[in-house]
Amino acid sequence: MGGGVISDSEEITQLIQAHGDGDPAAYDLAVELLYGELRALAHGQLANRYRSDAPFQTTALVNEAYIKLKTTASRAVDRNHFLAIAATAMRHVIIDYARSRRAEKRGGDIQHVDLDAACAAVSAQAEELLNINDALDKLSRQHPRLGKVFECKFFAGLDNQTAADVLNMSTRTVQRDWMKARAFLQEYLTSRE
Amino acid sequence: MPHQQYKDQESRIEAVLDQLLDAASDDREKILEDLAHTDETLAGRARALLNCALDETLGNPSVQSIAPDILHGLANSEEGIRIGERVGPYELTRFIRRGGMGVVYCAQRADGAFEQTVAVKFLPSFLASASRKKLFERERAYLARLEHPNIARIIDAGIAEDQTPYFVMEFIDGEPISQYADKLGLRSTLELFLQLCDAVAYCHRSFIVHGDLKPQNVLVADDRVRLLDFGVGRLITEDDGDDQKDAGLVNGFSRRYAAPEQLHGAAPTIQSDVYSLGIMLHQFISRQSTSPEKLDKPSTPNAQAQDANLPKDLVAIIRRAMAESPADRYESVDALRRDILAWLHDYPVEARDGALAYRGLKFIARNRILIGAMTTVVAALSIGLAAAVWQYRLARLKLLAPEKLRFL
Repeated sequence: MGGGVISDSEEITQLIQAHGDGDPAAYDLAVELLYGELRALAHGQLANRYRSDAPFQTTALVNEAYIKLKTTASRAVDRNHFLAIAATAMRHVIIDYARSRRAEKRGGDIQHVDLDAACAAVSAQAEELLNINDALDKLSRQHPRLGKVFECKFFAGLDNQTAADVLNMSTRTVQRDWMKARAFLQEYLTSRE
Repeated sequence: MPHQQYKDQESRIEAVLDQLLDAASDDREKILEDLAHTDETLAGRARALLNCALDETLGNPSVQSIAPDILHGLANSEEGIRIGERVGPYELTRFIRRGGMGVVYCAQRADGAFEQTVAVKFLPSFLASASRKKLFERERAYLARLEHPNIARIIDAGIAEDQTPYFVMEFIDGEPISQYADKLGLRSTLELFLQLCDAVAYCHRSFIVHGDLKPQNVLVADDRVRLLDFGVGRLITEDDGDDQKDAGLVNGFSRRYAAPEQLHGAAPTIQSDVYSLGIMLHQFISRQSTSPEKLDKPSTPNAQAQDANLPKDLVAIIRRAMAESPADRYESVDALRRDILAWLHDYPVEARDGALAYRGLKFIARNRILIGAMTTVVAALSIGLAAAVWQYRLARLKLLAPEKLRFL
């Protein structure tokens, strides 16, 4: 794994700044660039002898990306703006990977798919995650704020305070939104069955 | 964040949910009842949502860890990424395979103490979360106890720097059993299979169920069967209870060799191991290819046609091992072993009905030479002497009755 230089750091910083200034297009581009960076960091975890006591590795990844950006960019990076984008980017990384790990179901008869144990377990998880993601899409259309809270906590592993800072709300609201988001998602997921 | 236009219904239900969550739990029922008077559908949905909000499912640790677990999988998805890494006194030298539960590397001893080649198996990274390490520690203690000539020995176990649990095992340079058995005749194949039964029976005696028996987990080296990989191996101790949920691995097995109850979500048991052995036995003696094509279960018409060429008793043994209901199968791997041994020695097998004529036939087959000689001898003797000798021989033949014989 290469040194601490983040590719496109200037561009990402500019886009984050632009997003903070209200440019809507900047958001998606920033997400795309950050996506690539987060994927590379994920792969690099082992090579970097990654060590963490944090309960969620996603947070550490996101933080690692942030630190790298901060040290290489020529201008200041607003942490909250960065995290908002990183949460979305992280979600894409995870969901894309989950899609690739989902088992192929041939025809209707799943009995004959020979999956080794690890694949089967991972693909079961991947399936569950993709269902959650679909439900999250629906939620975000009806209740965008709830969707964003869920995304930050579930995919980026942000704690209540950080999520509150990023989304510009109180921790109490974050907690309540988290609960409501889960309720609606659960409703979508159970109605699927 | 700037507010956006919500649909009326949705913002209303959210407001109701807020109201319910703000209220004391005793008051919630009243609120719902009042609402039901004006809008029953809304009240119904609000009640369901309240229950979901209070339900911990989406908030529980194992679900919450799905996202980072998958991510960890991404980190591990390049094969060979660990080459050069040190675990304990070993250095990983070569990627062997991704299979069973996790990836396997070949490793060499690197501390200069002596030469040693081992296999290091890393459990899937999603098992690396803190809540599962406890389970790993416990299982490690049990698995380290296993010592049997037909089981790949576990040398060591630990947690790698990136928190992934690993096992260090004997490195087996062998051939997959299906491949090896292809070159053998029927009897030799059965003898090989008996070694596998020995290994599994030993596991069961140690209170470990394998749960993922399949040919890919069985190698043959130096004519000796070596069983690898304790996949979803579960402990079948007295105090199962919560541990069953902790294990959480019941979804990870090869469907092709799994017992019907496993496919429906039941935990692996001795009987499901018997079932898997049955499928494998059928595969070996039918000379099916090792590719995961459709394998007809013995009860299907196709298979019955194929099986017509196989010895009836063996087919009966396989059918019993593969009975749909666990209660109809052999009660243990030892029982399966005994029946195969019985067949090899021309004794009646339990799997067939114990009809007298059947037993008689088996008796004759077993004692072909003896009966032939006896007939000749009797004919050569005078009456008086013949009678005495006949009684003697008859007594001796009775001693050879199958129910008196013990196998080991």
